[in-house]
Amino acid sequence: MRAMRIMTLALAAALAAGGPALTAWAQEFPTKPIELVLPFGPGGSHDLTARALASVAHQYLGQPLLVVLKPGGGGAVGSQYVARAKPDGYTIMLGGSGPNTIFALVQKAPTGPDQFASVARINYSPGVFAVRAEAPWKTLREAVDWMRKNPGKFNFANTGPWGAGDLPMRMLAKAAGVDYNNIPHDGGGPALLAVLGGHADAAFLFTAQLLPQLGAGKMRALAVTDVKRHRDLPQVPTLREEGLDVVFNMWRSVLAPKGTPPPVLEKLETAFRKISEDKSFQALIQQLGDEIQFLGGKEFEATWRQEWDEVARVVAGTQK
Amino acid sequence: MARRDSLVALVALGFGVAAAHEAGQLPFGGLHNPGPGFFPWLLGVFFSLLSLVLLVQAVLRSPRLAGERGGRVGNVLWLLAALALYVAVLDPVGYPIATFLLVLFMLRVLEPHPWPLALALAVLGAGGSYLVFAVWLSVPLPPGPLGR
Amino acid sequence: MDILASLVNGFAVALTPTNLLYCFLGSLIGTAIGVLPGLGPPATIALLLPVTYGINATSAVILLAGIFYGAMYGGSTTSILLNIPGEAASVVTCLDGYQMARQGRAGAALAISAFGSFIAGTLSIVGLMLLAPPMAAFALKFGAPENFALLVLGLMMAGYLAGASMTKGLMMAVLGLLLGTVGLDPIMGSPRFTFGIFKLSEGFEFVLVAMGLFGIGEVLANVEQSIKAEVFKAKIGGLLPNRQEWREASAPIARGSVLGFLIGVLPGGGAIISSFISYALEKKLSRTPERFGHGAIAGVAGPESANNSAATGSFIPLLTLGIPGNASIAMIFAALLIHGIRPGPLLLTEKPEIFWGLVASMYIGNVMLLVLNLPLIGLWVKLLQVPYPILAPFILVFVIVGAYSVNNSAFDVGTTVVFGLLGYVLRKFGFEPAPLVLAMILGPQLEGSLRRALIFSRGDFTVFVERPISAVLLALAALMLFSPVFRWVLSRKFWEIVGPVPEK
Repeated sequence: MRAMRIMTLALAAALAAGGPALTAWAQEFPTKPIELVLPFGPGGSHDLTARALASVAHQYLGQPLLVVLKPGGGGAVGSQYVARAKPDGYTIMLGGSGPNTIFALVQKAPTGPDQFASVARINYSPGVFAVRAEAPWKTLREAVDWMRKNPGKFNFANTGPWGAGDLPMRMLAKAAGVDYNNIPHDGGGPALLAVLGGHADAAFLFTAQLLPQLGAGKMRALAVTDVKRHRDLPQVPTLREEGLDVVFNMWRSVLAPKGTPPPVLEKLETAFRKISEDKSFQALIQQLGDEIQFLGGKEFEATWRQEWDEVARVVAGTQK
Repeated sequence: MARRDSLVALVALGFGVAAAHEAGQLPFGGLHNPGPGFFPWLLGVFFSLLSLVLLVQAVLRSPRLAGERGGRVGNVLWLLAALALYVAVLDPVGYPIATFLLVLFMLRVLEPHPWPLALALAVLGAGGSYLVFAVWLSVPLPPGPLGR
Repeated sequence: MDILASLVNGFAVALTPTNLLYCFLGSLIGTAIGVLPGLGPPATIALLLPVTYGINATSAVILLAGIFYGAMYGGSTTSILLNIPGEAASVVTCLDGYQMARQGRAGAALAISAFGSFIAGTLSIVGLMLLAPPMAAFALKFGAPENFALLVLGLMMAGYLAGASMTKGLMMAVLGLLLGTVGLDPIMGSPRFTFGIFKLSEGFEFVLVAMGLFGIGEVLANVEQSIKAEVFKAKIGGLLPNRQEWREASAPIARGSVLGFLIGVLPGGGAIISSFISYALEKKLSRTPERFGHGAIAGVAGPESANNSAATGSFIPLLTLGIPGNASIAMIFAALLIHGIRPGPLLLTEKPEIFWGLVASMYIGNVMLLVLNLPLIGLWVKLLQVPYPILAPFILVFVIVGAYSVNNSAFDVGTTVVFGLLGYVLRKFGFEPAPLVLAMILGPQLEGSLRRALIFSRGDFTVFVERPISAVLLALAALMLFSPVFRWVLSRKFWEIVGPVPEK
């Protein structure tokens, strides 16, 4: 990368200004910065998690981790970019249930567990059904009743078709037997803007993004998709409590193109394991309202394939 | 120039129709839920309509200015051929040699300069840019047989 | 005077020697990045982000904001000197900036864009300071129909950029939109027009298209002309704008500043749209519109001011809503986040020192950029004294390295050469490539907002005229489109009644 020299200049300045020395261990594998591709636009929960990862990564990788946004097509653009990248460990992605399970199944896109080598799962989080603070619905039941009385009138902002902010709504609508208007958006940031601006009624978002808005009284959370209530939102019921049997969690995992050499994968897994044990990283994730649920590559792949089969059934059920 | 514009308009019309036809192969969706083919199809139609407008204007109107005068078109073709060859050999031959030859070609064949000047500039252009970008700024330009 | 007190505190933060150093470094790096092709501000900021982890939050943001601004300044330099737009927001600057350079006024063009950017930067910071919350509320009013209408108006104006024939300009815009659809469908992710070539499914990279159409196209066109033809006037006039040029540039700078700020607040391509809306506006308002495209200084001053104040405006959604509007701002967002600051609706009340420190450092950064860039002008202008036949191979080398470095692939160099050929052919037939490039960048947004709006309204097109903002914007667009038709009809009638009149 061309800006490396310029970076060194700035680096020198940072060091002069009393920044901590960067531990650089000269090793074989990462001899240049590693690209962490996100298949989403800026400002969503994946973006925030990736930034937190990148903030400590250089200590454990010996090279900077560069976050690269490649949004579009419900995550298909970025996922396929990585799936087809040179399998040398320098192009990896922070995948998720949206692009790598649901979308891959629905669109039959080559972005599933057969196209990637799993490196590590960082964490997962439930979706939160949220409306604007001025919205008339105080509870999920009220919103669902309204949908029932006004079929197809409820404007829902998804975060990408079949993504993690879309599937739960499809499941919810099926469970409640209601019809709504599904408006596609490029990720959580744009979906949140649409709800805040009154261009849509609700969205399924993640706490990372939602907590500040809830704190400022701009948005109202009505339900979460986990089996238990969320640590930071003790007053918000689960969908099951509200009488709808819908459970969905979005994982965030580091994936490498299939064919990446095992020693490289191992090195990456070790680095990400250490990152997930890093105190400042844990604090950042906590601040986002998430927890760390680290899982090694092999273990994660097993759960991924399990989810794959489950979602395949759900998709077959919700697709008309 | 009117005739030239009419010709351009006809070619453009063909392109527009072809684009709309290609887009027509993609799922169109409905107005309430437009599919992938919807927008490109609209564009193809718009482009065809604009080509028709251009055609009408070219036929009806007194000539307006259009483009630049002709010149040494041969030179342009030569340079394009050289660039095509450059792209083809960039990876196997490597950046320094390919660039040296390209600069030399431009300074000897396209615009004849004295050999010493052309050689000096070709070495400077290829070597200098390789040093600055590949060595100093770490752009991984293909080194070719010279490197490694 | 709450604001004044806060601002004084802000300056106290920004004026510490360390922060001044970061401000300077950021501006310097940004300028360098803007000049080098193939490396935009988001990539640089991504690379520098790790460096900022070790320093405190305010300094980090000051450094990154400096890069963001510096790149805006630097991007116009190659546009003016070599007809190669360094980044999307300076495509429009090529039109008149490069013509000025050919007429020996490169110094004036560079200086006016530096001064224009400085003035616009300063004005928009005042706007940011006083109007952030109401502007954020305004930005939220823009849903899919409004975005669609704004983009349509913008593209109509892009068509108007193109010299003599608006038809040809619009054709270029539509062609650009078509090129923008190559790749994966932005909503469903299915491939379109890729013809089985995987490289195409990522779409065309802006840098490659712009460097090809403008940079290589220009070299090809010059290679065609005889050696005797001087590309640049050997004698370079004064380095700074003269009194006449200042007079012509002052109103465009003022209008560009306001326009850029308003559009920059909207998420998406604010800086790009504002640059060409400003150009079209100046051309419409000018008493000598025929000079646009042939070295009108207003055509440099307006857009350059607009893209700079748009850059400031784009901070508003981040600082007031906590939602970054574009990729560069997302990086700055990340830097704040890493330091435990969660930008959001409460930032202004909970962490005022960040907001005001940033505002103050923007003032200082603008001064610094001016001080940094003015001395460079002399150096740049010297470059143009090299005879063109000798300069040409070096321009090509510059373009080739830039194209190669985007993805480190020779395929991309090939793409650039193909677009170079296209650029050459287009200019032979009197087509201006600027609308094509602009439309290509904005195409996916246009398509997304159109489809979103139609889903929102359940296929009802009246949504575009029922909502006041989009109705007004679309009415303006229609006026733009049909004004030549009206004028044409009138003039022909006039022509028949009065007899032959000299055609314009």
